[in-house]
Amino acid sequence: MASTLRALLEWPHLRRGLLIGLCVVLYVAPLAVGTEYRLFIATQMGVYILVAIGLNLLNGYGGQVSLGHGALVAIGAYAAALTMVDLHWSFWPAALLAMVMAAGVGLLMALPAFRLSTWYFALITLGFAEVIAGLLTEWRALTHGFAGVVGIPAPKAFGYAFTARDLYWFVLTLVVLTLVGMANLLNSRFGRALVAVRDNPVAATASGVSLVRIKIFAFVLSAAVAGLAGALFAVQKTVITPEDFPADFSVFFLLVIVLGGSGRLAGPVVGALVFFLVPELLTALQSWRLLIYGGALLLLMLYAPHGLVGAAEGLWKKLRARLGLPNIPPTPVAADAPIRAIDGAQLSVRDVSKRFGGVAALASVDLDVAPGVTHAIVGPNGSGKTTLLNMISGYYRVDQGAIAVEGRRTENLAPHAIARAGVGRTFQTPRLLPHLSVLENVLLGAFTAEKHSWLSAALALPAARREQQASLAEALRYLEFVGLRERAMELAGELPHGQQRLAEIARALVGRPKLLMLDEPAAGLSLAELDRLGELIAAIRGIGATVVIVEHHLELVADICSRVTALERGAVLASGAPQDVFSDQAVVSAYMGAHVRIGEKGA
Amino acid sequence: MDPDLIVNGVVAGSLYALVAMGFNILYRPTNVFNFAQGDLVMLGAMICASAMALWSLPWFVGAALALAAVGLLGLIEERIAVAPVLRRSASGHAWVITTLSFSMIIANLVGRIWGPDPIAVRPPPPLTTETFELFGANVSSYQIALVAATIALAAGVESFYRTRAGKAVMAVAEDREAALLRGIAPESLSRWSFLFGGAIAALAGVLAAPLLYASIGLGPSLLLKGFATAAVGGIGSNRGALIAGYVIGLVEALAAVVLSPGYQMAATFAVMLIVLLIRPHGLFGHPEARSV
Amino acid sequence: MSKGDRGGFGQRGDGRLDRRDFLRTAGLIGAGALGPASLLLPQGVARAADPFRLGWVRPTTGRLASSFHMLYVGGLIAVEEINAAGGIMGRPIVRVEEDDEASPAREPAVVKKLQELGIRHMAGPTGSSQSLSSLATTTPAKIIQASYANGAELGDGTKYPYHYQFTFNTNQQAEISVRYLVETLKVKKVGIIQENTAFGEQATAASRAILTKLGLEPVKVEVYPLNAPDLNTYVSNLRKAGAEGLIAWIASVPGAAMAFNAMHAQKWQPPITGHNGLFTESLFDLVPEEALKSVYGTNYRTLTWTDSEFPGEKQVAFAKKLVAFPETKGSGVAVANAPFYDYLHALKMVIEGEKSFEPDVIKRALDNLKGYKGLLGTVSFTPQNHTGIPTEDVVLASILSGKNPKSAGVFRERAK
Repeated sequence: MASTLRALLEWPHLRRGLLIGLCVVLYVAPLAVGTEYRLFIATQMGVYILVAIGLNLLNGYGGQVSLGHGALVAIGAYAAALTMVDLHWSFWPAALLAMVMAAGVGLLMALPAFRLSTWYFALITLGFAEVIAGLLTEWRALTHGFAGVVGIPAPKAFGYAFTARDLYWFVLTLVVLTLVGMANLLNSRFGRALVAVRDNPVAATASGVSLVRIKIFAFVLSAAVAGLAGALFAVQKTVITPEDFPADFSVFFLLVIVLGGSGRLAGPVVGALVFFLVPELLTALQSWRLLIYGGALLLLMLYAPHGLVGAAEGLWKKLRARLGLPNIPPTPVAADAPIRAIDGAQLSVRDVSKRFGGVAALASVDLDVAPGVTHAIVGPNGSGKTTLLNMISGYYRVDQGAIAVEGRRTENLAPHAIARAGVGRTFQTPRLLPHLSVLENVLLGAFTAEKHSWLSAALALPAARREQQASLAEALRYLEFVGLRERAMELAGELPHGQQRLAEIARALVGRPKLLMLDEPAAGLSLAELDRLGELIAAIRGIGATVVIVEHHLELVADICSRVTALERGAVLASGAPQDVFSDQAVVSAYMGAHVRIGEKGA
Repeated sequence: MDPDLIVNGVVAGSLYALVAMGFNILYRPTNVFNFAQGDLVMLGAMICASAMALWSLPWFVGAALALAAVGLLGLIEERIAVAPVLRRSASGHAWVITTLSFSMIIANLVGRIWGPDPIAVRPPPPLTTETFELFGANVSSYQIALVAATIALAAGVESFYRTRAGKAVMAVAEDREAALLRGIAPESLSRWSFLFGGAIAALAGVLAAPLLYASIGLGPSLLLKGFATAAVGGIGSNRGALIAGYVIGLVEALAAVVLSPGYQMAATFAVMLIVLLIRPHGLFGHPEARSV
Repeated sequence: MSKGDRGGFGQRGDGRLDRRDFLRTAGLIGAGALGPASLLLPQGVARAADPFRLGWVRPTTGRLASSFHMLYVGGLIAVEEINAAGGIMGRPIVRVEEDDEASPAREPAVVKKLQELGIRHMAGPTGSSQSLSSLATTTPAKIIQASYANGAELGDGTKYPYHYQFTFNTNQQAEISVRYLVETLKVKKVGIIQENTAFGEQATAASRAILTKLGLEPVKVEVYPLNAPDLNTYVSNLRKAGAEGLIAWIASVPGAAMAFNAMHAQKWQPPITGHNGLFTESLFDLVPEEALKSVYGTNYRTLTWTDSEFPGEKQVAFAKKLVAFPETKGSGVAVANAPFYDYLHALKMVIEGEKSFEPDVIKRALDNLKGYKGLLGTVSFTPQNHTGIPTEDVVLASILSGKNPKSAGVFRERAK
């Protein structure tokens, strides 16, 4: 018994086989058991699933809370219904218009995200939904007011009108296609960028992801899906009134994905299924149903934050572990190729100052780094080293002064734009996405290197796949380079601290930075890891990148850097070759306070 | 402008400000926006109304009972729906869903206990809702008392934040971990905040009841406007809530004269959007801490 | 009606078996293995008593459930009476209950489900939008139906040939309300206050039409949103426009209370006519008595008294049964105004007359129903007109008379 189970679980095509089997059942089922009521419920469920899939992209993966998705469905439904009934359009252009209209309103809703934080954003979407609900009844000339739109015809293709069963098949097909497209998209640079925006926005911008653009992208795409679902909602119901879209309609979709598993591909499907089936199970408790929902949701959030799918995944892993099967998928294979050389960039910092409140963090700092040079910035705690890095990479605004990379001024650029200009960096505490694999974290670094559009990613077009394969090969190569290849498929959050640093360096390298800035890379490393780091930095210099390193570990600095700048209290004390700087009297006395003698091992 | 409109706007604005203050008190040490707040407001009104109607208790006793009961419920909410998810991740969003589900639970329980009929709440004597003319406007003594009580409450809460305990709340709001290092216990502060936030919600309901009646429909309508008020004023700022309440109340009163209902909502929303686009953290809000 | 019976009020007749059956196949979805043979019709139970299965669409959950659930008590009384008298053609009525959550979005699914259970006669839902949404599915399915909704459109026999309105409609309400103000009270300056709902909109449109017929224009129409924090502004707009009489299309009790209190505070007491929702007795706790003195709602002649007339035996007996249900307390008028009691008795009469349960046969018979003496009035239909109550059976009644012991929780005093 256990061995058959084991064999089954080891079958490499298990997942795909199960999914295809499920699809076949779903397509064939209506022929056998498709009564009108069941078709109606199943189709309605499909429409809701579609909305939830779109919302899951935005909320589950992107971490943005929309309390206005129900209104987007309403817009799609009204756009389709009104054009079909009043203007006698056929379903197809009407559905397209529904998507465009919902996407347009979605864009309008998302625009305040330029300036507002998550919670205000949730409020704005809620307000938008209220306004749209008001307009549905108020704008009578267009929407027919409370009476709604009556007599919405079924979609037609080549003169043939869809029956209830055809509509079910059609919705089912759309759900399947959307799920496949969503899976492709989430597996691409866009999916990783979204998760990064949710889990660690700093990591996202450091990899060249524009937070605003990716949020708007997610919002518009999920709005378009909601619009399409709205069009289907209209043709399925044949009558729509403003009361079909009550205030809690939006909350309903949020609950569906949380129930199923937010940020899990199957979450919306499972959530909707449970939402529709539970009322059937609770017949006897009919009027307690909402109370039970509320309680169940609460318990779920407390004990299974990733919903039913998350809980099932946990059980699945336990089952595999008990059978002695590995839970870490095999590392994908990719063509091998040598690491390509990088043209290092020149960095110049002129007269840069920064004040926090009344305190001067940096005062008129100059720094010049020649192309291909490894340059260290040293100084006691609070001397402004990290502040300087944060200003070069755009996380702090420059109060005064100029910064140029390869002669191009960058001091007014956003962090993601500076990253795109070829400046890569790591952070004092590694900024990894703990729930993604090490490999996926490194792939995030390739966000700007890949050029394919979201659509070609969703459709898995050959061009996109070629580019993704190339990034994969590159990522694996850099993982090899930093010595983490065999841990590529483990979750980044489960790596020891030192290896997280190495993974972060690999992520920065995949973006092929002309200037790489490392913020205290040696902190917390073991001796062996320290040696490895030294070799690694030497190897990076070998590729040709310019490296700026903030470090306390002066021996490491003396070993690998050709130039050093010492800071104290936000000002440059000395700059030059390591032996000159470290013998500078001012530098030595500055360090005396820190009880560190030059040349001592460890800092 | 018609003086009556100003009265209507300021009175409604005071109610919105009261709801927003409940939001703020909860928000400060926890960074949680309580989606069950509307239900707490409604419950406050219902408990007070029932105590007065069923047991013929005087207003003050009914109100005290409502404040205590709803404050306790707030505490229960914090214990079962908020603290566990904050412990897991202080910056996560799980509390949206847990407070929403708490709201579902309360709304449905209340619906089972009380019927659909609204219950009248008489203001405490000598106050009445009978109007008289004052500077050309029709006002009642209860309306004047309501506006004054709201201002007093805002001032009281703001002055609390200047005390030692209040500063601890602010420290937790800014950086939970740093506050922990300074010996402040965020857990106990968030418990107290839910207790008080719940009591303030109940107070909002109790004070609204003589004008809007105690009914199970009271919560949802006040929730959204209280939400908008808190946002426009700057979340966490009670002075902001008061000013924003007046702004929204007056915009609404004016819109009621010139616009049809569908556009009234749009007008209120437009005001909110404009304020937030010019001042993303509201009129009196503070930007959030740096991220790197 | 025994206590035990009432315990079953919240339950769903014999629909349970089918639900479980549905679950087994639950959604078609996974299984696919079960054939059509396993569906539908509770086996065994059905044959023994051969009950007449009646669809019963009533909200037990959702926002409006607490306001709507008791409105079916009249229907329950009818079921009890009919079954006690041996059922319809010897078949006892069995209610197959479905919860529509009072949500228009739920109606198609509810109807399809009942349809699949073989239901061809239905009572409910309640509410105009809910009923219209329901009719989009019941009409093609040829289900004989009476819903509790006053929209004039719902009595259009050409549009909804299988739906019968055993109540007055919004147009009749509007006509009575306007004519009383203009013709009886000689008010020329009529104002309208309306809640922003589908009902409010229809009723205002109908009132305008009647006023136009009488050569008048409303001096002012004020529409307020349901979540308005107070109605002072709207009321003073009407007062300032010089309105001498008001028509109130307000169905929600807090809304009505706010409006009347605002008028009271402004010391303005014009005569007011309007919706039958105003009869809800909880208004008495919210509004001082003197503010309700000149407020009248639309009601049925048969349920009102005057100095010389009192409701008939049938109505009095019904009222006694009705008030025995505790959930009707305070809303006796709304419950008595429901169509279900007359609908079921008329259905029994027609079916037994035609000796057929076939919807098309029933439809033909109902279309030709003339002068049926119902609880609410003399019901007649034509194939085109499915609003059964003639306008002369619609009257205005005093709101305040609900405090009079004569009201017995159900009746009101007709306006003079």
